[in-house]
Amino acid sequence: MLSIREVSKTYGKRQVPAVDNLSLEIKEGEIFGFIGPNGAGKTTTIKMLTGILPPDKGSILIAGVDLVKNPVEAKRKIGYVPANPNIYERLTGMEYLEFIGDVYGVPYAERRERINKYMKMFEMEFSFNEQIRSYSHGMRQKLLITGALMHNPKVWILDEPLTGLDPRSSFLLKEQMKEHKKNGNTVFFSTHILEVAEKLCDRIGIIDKGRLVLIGTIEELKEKAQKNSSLEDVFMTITDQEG
Amino acid sequence: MNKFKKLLFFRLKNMLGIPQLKYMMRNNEKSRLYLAGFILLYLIVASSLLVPYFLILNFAYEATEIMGDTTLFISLLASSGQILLLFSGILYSFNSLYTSRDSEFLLSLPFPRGYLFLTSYVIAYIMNFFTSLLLLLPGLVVYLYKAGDAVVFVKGLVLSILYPIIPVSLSMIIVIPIMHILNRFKHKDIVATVAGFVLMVLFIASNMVFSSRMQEGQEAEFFAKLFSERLDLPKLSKGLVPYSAFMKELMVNERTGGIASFVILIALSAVVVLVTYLLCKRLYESLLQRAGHAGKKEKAVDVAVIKVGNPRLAFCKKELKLILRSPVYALNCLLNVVLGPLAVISIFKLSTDSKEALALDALVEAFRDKPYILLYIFYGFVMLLTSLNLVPSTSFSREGQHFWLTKVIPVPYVEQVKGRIYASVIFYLCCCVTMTVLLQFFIRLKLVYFLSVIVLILASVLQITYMSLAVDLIKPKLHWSTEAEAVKRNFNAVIGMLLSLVLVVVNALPVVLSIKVNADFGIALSLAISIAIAIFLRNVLMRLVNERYELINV
Ligand SMILES: Nc1ncnc2c1ncn2[C@@H]1O[C@H](COP(=O)(O)OP(=O)(O)OP(=O)(O)O)[C@@H](O)[C@H]1O
Ligand SMILES: [Mg+2]
Repeated sequence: MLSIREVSKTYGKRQVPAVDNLSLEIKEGEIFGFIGPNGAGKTTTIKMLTGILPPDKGSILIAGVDLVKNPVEAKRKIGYVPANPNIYERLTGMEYLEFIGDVYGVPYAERRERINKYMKMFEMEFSFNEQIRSYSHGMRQKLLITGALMHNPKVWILDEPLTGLDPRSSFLLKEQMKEHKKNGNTVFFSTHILEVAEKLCDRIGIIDKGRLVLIGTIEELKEKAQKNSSLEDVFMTITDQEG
Repeated sequence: MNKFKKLLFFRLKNMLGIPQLKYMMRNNEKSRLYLAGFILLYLIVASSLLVPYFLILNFAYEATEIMGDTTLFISLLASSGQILLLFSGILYSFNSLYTSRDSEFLLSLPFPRGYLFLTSYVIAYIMNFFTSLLLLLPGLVVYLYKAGDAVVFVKGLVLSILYPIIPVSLSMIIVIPIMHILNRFKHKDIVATVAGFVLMVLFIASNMVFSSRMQEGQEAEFFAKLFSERLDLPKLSKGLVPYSAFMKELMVNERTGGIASFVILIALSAVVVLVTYLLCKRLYESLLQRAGHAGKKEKAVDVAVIKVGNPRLAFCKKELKLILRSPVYALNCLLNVVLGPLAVISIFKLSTDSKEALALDALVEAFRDKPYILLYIFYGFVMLLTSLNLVPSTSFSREGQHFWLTKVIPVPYVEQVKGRIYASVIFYLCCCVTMTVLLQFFIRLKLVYFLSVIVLILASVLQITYMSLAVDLIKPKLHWSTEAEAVKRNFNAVIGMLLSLVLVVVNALPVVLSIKVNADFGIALSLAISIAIAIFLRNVLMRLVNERYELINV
């Protein structure tokens, strides 16, 4: 569903690559968690997956479509929620969603149904009529999540989606991720909350200094890291060794 | 005190964009060149403004000579400068208080209450000090040159330190309560935009009425008459700016009267500063704390009214909305929509009751048998104002931190750019359609020439749109924190305007060159060439889109 093949990226004229020869294969109906220390290259990877940054080398396939060769077709299959919810502040939430609906070509009936669903779910009935300027961080995130799911994407990519959400909303988001998986789609997200990764993800990848250092199911990870008791221990030992 | 100095310098540096400049200087050769070009451009613009200012000062001095009392010139300089500084002070205060984004951050810093207001106050003073130098120095130079009085010149320099204090204080006292009121409005952005446009129209209209009453070669007499009969200058300057009398005393009186005036001025300034501080400090802080509160009643979303459209139109709609909703964008980008029709009306209509109107009518009549000249007056007039538009030349820059969205959505970049083209053309048309209708009313071109001029204008609008979008696409300014930075401190805006003027000249060139042979042929040629240029620029833009869009990183 989502394959990343030997992708590298170096910013400008820097010496060290932000992402270094990364390969990943993520299957249909899978929730994949991407963890790693600050500055490890998670956001950079996600930006390449969503077409924001062109990779220096390597290829990315989204549901079989090459993102570099056929970007428009590939992007149609992606829903993206960025870490910093920067969106047009002077539009209202509803106007933003209409814009998103138009650019993804979502038919009227689906648009109406999905907006209605998430608006009720996130309790944003009143806020969607306000300008985004007046939104809190969490409200912006909810708006972006609604926008990302409007066209029912095959691959849903989220960058640290849980920061800023209240407990109830983050529960709802996690449920939503499970539902998305149940419908045969893929979810790819980065996070710093290890408990969430542990409970939610089918597989986890640990990235450090741009390189994928460990990948597998929770059990596999623990095994590889000499039977440590928790994901936190695995994370500490793995990222420590690398340094 | 040390803390105060630090806060002051910190804010001042940020406001002047010094960290950015330093970064550019340190960075590389290319950005240093870029910077030098920018400074050069500003110098050119500034000097082109200074020349007419010197001329006006010169006429004013001669007028006071005719009236027989050249110290009137000093009064005039002192009082009119104070009024102008009040306006610029309002602008600066408004800019630093209303559009700055650091206020929330500053509120959180451990400074004594009052420091925030005091630093804003000092910054406004410093900005106005430079403005006042620009206003006063030319006047002093003229006086020095004409009256040969060096003492006045030196005293004027000393006075310039005190000079901005009172207008700045008054502008603070005016702006802060206005902002309190503005804050209460439901749609405060719209109120601010409309108010800005009204002020602009008033300013420009008064300027135009004023200059349309002046006659070539008799400016000094005009001023003399204006000063002595219509305005009664001595009385007026005392009435409007009462303390300017002390300034004049200080400047021209060489005995104790001068010193006494100086002392009085210092005392007056001190009192005004104290009063302003006490009045505004609390008000300003409560304003900061309350900024951004919307008192609007909330309404639930009704999903039944969702609209559906295509991607290109969605982009166009988004552009229109964003520009019209932001006062900064609307006032800067759409200046010409207001200015254009106003210019036509004031030049052709307001002057009908004066002699110049007849001259203008006569001029139009004189060229009746040379319609190609009328056609180019028509075209030049429309395009000169139309090209002031900043919508396309800041189109990508205005995306700023939101740029990521344009890369994530499954809309080919070319389609997105077409949406931007639509939005720009719509705003251009707002300006040139009204201007064209009005001008045709006054000039009355024959149908075939009128149609030609329409085609020419449309082709030029497309040319300018493609060219400006290309300029902004090559090097968009995406890192900004206030909307003002995206349009005002954007090099692309200036380049876009200059290149637009170049295009206008190029379009008109065939006719100028073929006047001797056959002007109608020249017009036809010029139509063909302008259309060809439009098509060429469109291809250039589309090629650039495919090459450059991908490379823009956010
Ligand atoms: N725009 C940029 N220009 C230059 N270098 C960058 C840029 N963005 C990121 N980097 C560098 O790339 C590396 C990876 O950054 P990235 O944002 O991908 O990390 P991350 O894993 O998302 O970290 P975090 O957990 O803090 O979000 C870092 O060393 C960072 O300094
Ligand atoms: Mg990150």
